[in-house]
Amino acid sequence: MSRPLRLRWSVILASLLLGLAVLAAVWPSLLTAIDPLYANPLESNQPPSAQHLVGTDLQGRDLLARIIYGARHSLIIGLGAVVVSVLAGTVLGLLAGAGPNWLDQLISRAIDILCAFPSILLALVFIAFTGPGVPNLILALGLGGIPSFARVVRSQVQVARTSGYVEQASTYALPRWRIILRHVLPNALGPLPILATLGLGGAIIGSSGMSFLGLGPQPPTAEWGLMLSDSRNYLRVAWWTGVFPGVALTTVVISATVVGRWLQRRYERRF
Amino acid sequence: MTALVSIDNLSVSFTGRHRVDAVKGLSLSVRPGQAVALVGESGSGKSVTARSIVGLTGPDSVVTADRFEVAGRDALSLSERQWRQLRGGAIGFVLQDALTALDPLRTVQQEISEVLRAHKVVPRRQIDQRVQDLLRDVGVDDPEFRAKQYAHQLSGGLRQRALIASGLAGQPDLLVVDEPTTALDVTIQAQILALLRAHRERGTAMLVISHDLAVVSQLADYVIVMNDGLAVEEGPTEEVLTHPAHPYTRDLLSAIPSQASRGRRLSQGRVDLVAAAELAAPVRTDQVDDPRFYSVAADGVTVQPVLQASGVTKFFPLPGGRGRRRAVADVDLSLFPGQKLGIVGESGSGKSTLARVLLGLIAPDQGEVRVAGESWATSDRAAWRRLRRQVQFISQDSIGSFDPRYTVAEIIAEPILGQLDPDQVQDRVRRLLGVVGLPERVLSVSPRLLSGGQAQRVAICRALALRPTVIICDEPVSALDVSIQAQVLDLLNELNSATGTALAFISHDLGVVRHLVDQVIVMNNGFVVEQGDVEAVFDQPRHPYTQSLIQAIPQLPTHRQGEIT
Amino acid sequence: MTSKVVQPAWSYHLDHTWLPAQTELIGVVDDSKTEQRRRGWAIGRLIGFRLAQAVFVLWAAITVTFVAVHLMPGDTVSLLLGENRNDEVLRASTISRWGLDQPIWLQYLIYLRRIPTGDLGTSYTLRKPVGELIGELMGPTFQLAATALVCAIVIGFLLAYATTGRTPLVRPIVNTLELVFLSAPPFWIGIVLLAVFSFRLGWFSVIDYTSWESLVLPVAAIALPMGFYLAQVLRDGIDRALEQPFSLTARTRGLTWAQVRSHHALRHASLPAISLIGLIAGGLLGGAVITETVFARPGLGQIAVSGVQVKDIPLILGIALVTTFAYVVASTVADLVGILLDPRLRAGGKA
Repeated sequence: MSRPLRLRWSVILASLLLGLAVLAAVWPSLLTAIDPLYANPLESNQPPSAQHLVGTDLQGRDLLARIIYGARHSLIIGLGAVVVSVLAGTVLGLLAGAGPNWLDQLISRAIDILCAFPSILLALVFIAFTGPGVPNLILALGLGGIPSFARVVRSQVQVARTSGYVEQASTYALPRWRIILRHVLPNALGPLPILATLGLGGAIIGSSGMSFLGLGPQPPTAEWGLMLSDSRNYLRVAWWTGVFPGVALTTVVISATVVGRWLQRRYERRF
Repeated sequence: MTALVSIDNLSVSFTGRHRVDAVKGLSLSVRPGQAVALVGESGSGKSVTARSIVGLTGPDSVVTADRFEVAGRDALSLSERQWRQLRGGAIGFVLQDALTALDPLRTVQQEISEVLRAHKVVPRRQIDQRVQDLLRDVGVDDPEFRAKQYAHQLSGGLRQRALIASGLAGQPDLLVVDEPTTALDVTIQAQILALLRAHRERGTAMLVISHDLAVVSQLADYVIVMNDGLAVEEGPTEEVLTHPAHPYTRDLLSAIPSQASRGRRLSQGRVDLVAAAELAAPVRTDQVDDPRFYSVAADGVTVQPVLQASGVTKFFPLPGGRGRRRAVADVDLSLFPGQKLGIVGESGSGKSTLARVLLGLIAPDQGEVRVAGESWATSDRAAWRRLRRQVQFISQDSIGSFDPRYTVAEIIAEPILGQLDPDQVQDRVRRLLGVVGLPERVLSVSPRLLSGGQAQRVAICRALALRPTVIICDEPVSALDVSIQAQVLDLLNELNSATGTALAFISHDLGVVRHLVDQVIVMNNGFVVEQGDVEAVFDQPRHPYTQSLIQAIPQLPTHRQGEIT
Repeated sequence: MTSKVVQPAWSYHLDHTWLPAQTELIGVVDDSKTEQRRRGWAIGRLIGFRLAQAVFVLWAAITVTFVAVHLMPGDTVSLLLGENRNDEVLRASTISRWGLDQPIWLQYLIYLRRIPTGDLGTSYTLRKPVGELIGELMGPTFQLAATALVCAIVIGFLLAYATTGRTPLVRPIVNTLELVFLSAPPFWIGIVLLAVFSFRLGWFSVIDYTSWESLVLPVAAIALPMGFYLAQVLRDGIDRALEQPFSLTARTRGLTWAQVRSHHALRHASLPAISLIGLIAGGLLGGAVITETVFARPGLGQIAVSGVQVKDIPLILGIALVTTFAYVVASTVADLVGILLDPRLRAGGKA
């Protein structure tokens, strides 16, 4: 099939939503004029209305403004964690896939061990040792994502190394490094942007999850996980505080998944 | 007698995103005890026709016919339940490639008894016994033991027999066999053909689907030649194969490489020999005294082999550290300039390993390979690079040998990049493409869009780009349809004579080897069992293994060659 | 053919490399009887290898925790004591317990001997041995995890079976639901369930955590996303198997679609599903952290979170080791079941 993949409306919508989230993270005041920290006790726990589109929280802060400003933390920590995972995973995967057998064994076993700690717990332990804070959170979440990237890169390198085109290239008297640079690396790293997009959703969930547990930014910062954590106490009287931050979070994650899947399908069409 | 299958004007279309008309008005009838063959190349619609007979063309298909009777019933109005009674009951179906056609998670016993249960052929208690009887009937020794095994534990021949047994389990009147011997070694193929023949003689009617005219001639008494969804010619097998009336049938027959086709072209079209010689000959006219080929000594001029193996042995470790297996054992060979050497053997004979040792991709454990007198084991990097460029490689899976990110132009240019300036490279690529008969527009195309024949031509272009003295071809035509195979073989043959590039040609297909090469070595279990001139080896094989191989080649009815030109 | 499985966002640490690949068959098949007998040994070796691997990972996990404690900047005793670092009596007993006055290799040996006996040290914030604490809180967490696992498997199989084959109306709905459940953060699913079913409809109270009623929503919060994930993997496996030639062969024998699906395809699909169940089961104890926090249930998760907040290192390490142990056991059992179910693996093709 040589036809380009149809760009479906769902992919366009997802890209737009992702763009919106990025805009909210970079320049939130463009999307709302309300200060997310402005508390008005007279308007405590107001349901959605024309004035407050998705209602207010206990302190009478506008929920929509808080959701818009909350994008920043989730996206920064999520992106940071993915970058950490991709960088570390790629280096480890390349070393394991292209290096000598003992190095492969060493790295592969280390990754097995890393996998054995459930990722939330890994992050918890990491935070327990290093203390909270954005850089530590990024490292803690990034650590859990390393195995999947490292394994994919390793297997891609091995597929490329044993491929017909590498065997063929070695019959032209090309130096080894040229073969690795020209054939192995580009083919092995091709799927990485896709995996990173798919991983972004997970990292954002991880980051809001840590905030939810109280290990991320502290009140009164506007952060989705933190807002959800707060909402538990007033769910009976103010359901909207527990629903809308989650809708925002889920929308961003779904969008990343839809775009990532589309990129993946487009990439797989090449073969 | 009423026909088992009687079809008039059958059409099968697939209505997916693109409409595909797979069969366009075919008529077919099979009478009891008759063996009818549908022959054609890939995409001719023969397999779809076979599947329409059991009502399994798939959910997106539309089947129409003026008349479509199967086992005395009107198939166009059969309910799903009635179809199921036919499938496995009146009609047995044997798919190609038993490794994938048998469920890998189920034993032979479970697979065969599925038919017995579905059609209640025998009472429940007797199922085990019947499975063993069926296996014995298709020539499986020790059926009690084999019945408990899985498909992947059986050798190709046994696997195919088990699949045939499951097709016969419902005591069908008609057995449909789709490519029954494809992917089997020639000796196993002969056994399976004998088995099917024996069942035919016992009265089971057959519909044989095959791309191989020689296989068909062994089995069928009536043949229908299909091309692009249509029957182009039909008639009694002997008649069609010896006096083909339709040009397509004639082309198909004349494209088959064999002893008789030696020395003539298999296909139409011709290579520009002058351009080929100019572009790709390893020795240019101004360097005839190239020391790679001749050594001048006091007692005269001796011709030097371009490729020479002496005592080459290669071991492979067995999985799980259970010792090692000898893949190539003590092989000696010499290939002289311009010569064509065939290396034949069945699967597992070590011929592909030998190819990689000759190429210098893997080092032999014992012995050495010399290219124009210099060993691969040389420590001189510059010399080694010189050798590298003299030996080029064409593999069976040429699509896999192209970097998927490259265009055709980049693929062909890669070996010569950096040796010539960019304009010269482009020019050379373009002219090479002309020599192998590909249009220039493929240059900007990605290799995955090429057809099998085009891909093989691009691979040939790339191999020629460095002006090698030897090209090693590992099964270069075995994945191709016979007419495309013919074109590629003609191309290789003519390039060899135009440029003087020697060929080492590895193949399991004895007909191809017999057609093409001058010298042949026969391999079995890593050993060379026989070698010599191709005529001598094929006409008077001395080693019993060679004799059995040559005996097993299915023969077309003779005396056809003289009549076709 | 490429996988149609969407990776759930909440499981990004799992990856698709665990899907058992088709074992490749290389070279000539030796089908002699002696070869078959030798394969009997091969299964034993494969199982032995897998068990050895499990033991290795456990040892490595213990070692990692040891190294982590000693790599931290500052004084190890203070790190372990946390807020109680100025309590001289505790300090002395900790030093002797961990052997902190010994050379480092001896400390390591002491640690290595101590952990497998269940002696995980003492939580100084809760002033109790960690092993005892975990033992007390293991019950509720295990109850939650086990119930959720069973429900996830039931949901997965039912959903997969209901949606495979030609069901053009159901598919898009299920696909959308799947995308939501695989993308929504697990704690939010919990909050929504809580808002709807507990507060609005008042169906399930979660106040009394010892009652079965209180278990319903937490179990649903875990089992729904996992069930959808499992269903997806199963359905993809069934669809792939139905496209294989052996399914066509089965059809040509006169079997119905339903028979091909249950006799052939389901078995193929359950191989990756079993691996997945192993991974899910292994991750459940750790994953309970979030669910327990949402529903304010006591359990391992809850003390883990409070442990992190007060930097109770011995407690955190203890919980990490217990959940890692659970993970290794679950994934090893799943692999062993896989080996027994797949004759291609049993043949000793690859380890």
